[in-house]
Amino acid sequence: MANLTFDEVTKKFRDGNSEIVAVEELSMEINDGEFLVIVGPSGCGKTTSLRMVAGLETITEGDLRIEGRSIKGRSPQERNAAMVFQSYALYPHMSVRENMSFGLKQSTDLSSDEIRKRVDEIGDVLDIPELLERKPDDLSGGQQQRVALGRAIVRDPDVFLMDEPLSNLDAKLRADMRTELQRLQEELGVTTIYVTHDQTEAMTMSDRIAIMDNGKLQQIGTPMECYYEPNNIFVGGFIGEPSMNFINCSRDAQTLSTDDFDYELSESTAMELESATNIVLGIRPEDVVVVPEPTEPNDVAVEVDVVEPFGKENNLYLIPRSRESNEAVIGTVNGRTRVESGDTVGMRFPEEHIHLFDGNSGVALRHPVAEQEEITPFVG
Amino acid sequence: MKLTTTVKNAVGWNDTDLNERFEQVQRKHVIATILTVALAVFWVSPLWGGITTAFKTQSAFISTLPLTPPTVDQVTLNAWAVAWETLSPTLWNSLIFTIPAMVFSAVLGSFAAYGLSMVNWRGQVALMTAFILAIFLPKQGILLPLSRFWNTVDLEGILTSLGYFSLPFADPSHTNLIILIITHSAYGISIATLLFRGYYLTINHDIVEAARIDGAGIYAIYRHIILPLSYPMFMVVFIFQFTQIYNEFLYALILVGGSDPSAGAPVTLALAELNSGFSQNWNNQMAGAFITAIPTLIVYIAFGEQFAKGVEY
Repeated sequence: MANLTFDEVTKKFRDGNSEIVAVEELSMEINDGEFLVIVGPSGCGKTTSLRMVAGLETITEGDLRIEGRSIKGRSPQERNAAMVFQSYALYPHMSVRENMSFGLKQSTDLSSDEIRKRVDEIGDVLDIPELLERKPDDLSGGQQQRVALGRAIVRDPDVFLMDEPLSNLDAKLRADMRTELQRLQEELGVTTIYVTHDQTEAMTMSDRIAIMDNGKLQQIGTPMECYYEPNNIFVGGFIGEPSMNFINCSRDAQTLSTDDFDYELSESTAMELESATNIVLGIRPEDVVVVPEPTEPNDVAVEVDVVEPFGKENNLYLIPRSRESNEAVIGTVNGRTRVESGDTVGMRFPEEHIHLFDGNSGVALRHPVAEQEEITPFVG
Repeated sequence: MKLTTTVKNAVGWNDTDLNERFEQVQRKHVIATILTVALAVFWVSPLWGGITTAFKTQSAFISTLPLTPPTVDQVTLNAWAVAWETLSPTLWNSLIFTIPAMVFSAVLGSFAAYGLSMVNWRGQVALMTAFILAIFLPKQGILLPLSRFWNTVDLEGILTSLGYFSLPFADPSHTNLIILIITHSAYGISIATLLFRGYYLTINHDIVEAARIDGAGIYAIYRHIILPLSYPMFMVVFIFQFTQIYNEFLYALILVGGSDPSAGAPVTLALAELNSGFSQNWNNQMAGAFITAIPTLIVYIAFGEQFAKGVEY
């Protein structure tokens, strides 16, 4: 149990004569007992960051501290971290019990009786007592996953490191394991860094999400913060499914012009944009209001291109009638609403729900008004 | 019948077409069978000739064709007895140096391969290149330096000063046998390293990293993870090295010299000795060849399944 500090951590790889920066000046603080998910597309540096904590990669610049004491340059053995690999990395020639005992034998001086007792305990916690004497090859993917988890838990480490541990499971099992992992982590209270490329896992499991792209930290915050107040276009687009709609606009005072339509901003909103003229308007599909026909000034006449029914809701791909840009805006409507492809409807972006980003830097200039405050306690 | 009709209609062949196809297929079969039989005869006949010769009397060998089996009054075990008498002391010598050299080259090769594939350090590539070059070093090219080397190193003197020869099991022939063990171990390390390295590169590297995080050091990882996983590869290297070292002739000839069993001569030299002499006795030679081949046959039968199955952990 410990807190963990990334202090301007940089990792560079040599590739022949050129240098590749995998992680650039990553600074963040992970609190004791926190479940932090690092999320990002492949090659964003998330796994490298995790491996630096494990001691499997060296740190080029900066410092990493557990409980304030630097672990830079220390071997993995000296770090008391446990890791769950995407491939599970179980020792194929050892039984499940031996797999789980190995770390205890190597890194502690517990007697074999104590080790046996601890492995049995964890076997019960994970509900795998009947698997203990079997070999990894005889286990299903889900069971192997549990063993890999057990091997990490049994060591009672300072930090859990998880590298896409659920990505080899089928969808149903993955959803089950997601909840179970969360429950376990809460029970054990061990600081956890979990790396994934799946934003659903990031949203559902984490206390806080760290979003990385191109070796740089884009945002770190609670799932709600990242969802409702993304720092930039990348975060806005990465978090949320289906992803946020982005529309390129040029701004003249209070008017945002796109190829297809104009959007009038209120005076107060326009003030927030200061002098920026190249603007990207972002709106989440669930905030797009679909009306039978355009009635208000900012409404746009659109044609329904594709309908994706999900049961509880339908995703509509809406293309402006003028068809200048031919880019679809995704809008979500109630699943019981009957809309057919080819219908002509009206599309409305309520101003309180729009995100505005600087078109050049991608940085958020304006978040939706008071969306976070709209989250109200359900009980009490 | 119905099926052929359907096929014929579908493909659009008439009866003559179909018959031609059948004939083609049959012709292929006939050719394949003839080739197989011919090749089998080609490969097996020397072996068969060897066996018949080994069981014939000398006069029967002269009066019959090599491939005809001996009649009842032509059968004798005499050739086997003679060959066994000549070869058996050297057969023992061969095993004394072959088995340790096989084990040493495999174990050292496995160490080297582990260091060259699983541990990161500078100069790895250069060292691996040296290992690979050593595999292609022609034997003839190192014969002279090798014999000069063992002339310079007074192994007998070293062993005497260490008090080896006062040990109960010690024998003067051991000097030459130890020379052979060291030479074959050293020469075998390169190929063993290459074989093990290729295998180690197929092991999921996550396993090694998991072990590091579990607190195991370089030695513990080898002992507890890599060594147990190497079992199938050890079988392969053992078989390979056993046949290589056991069948080896040139080093033994240079380092040991004659076929004197008490000087540590291996069976290959003694077998060659059976060949020479004033009157060639083919019966003895054939029996000797079979006796010499027995250990390698045993190794293949014992470990061959693993060898054929290939390498998987």
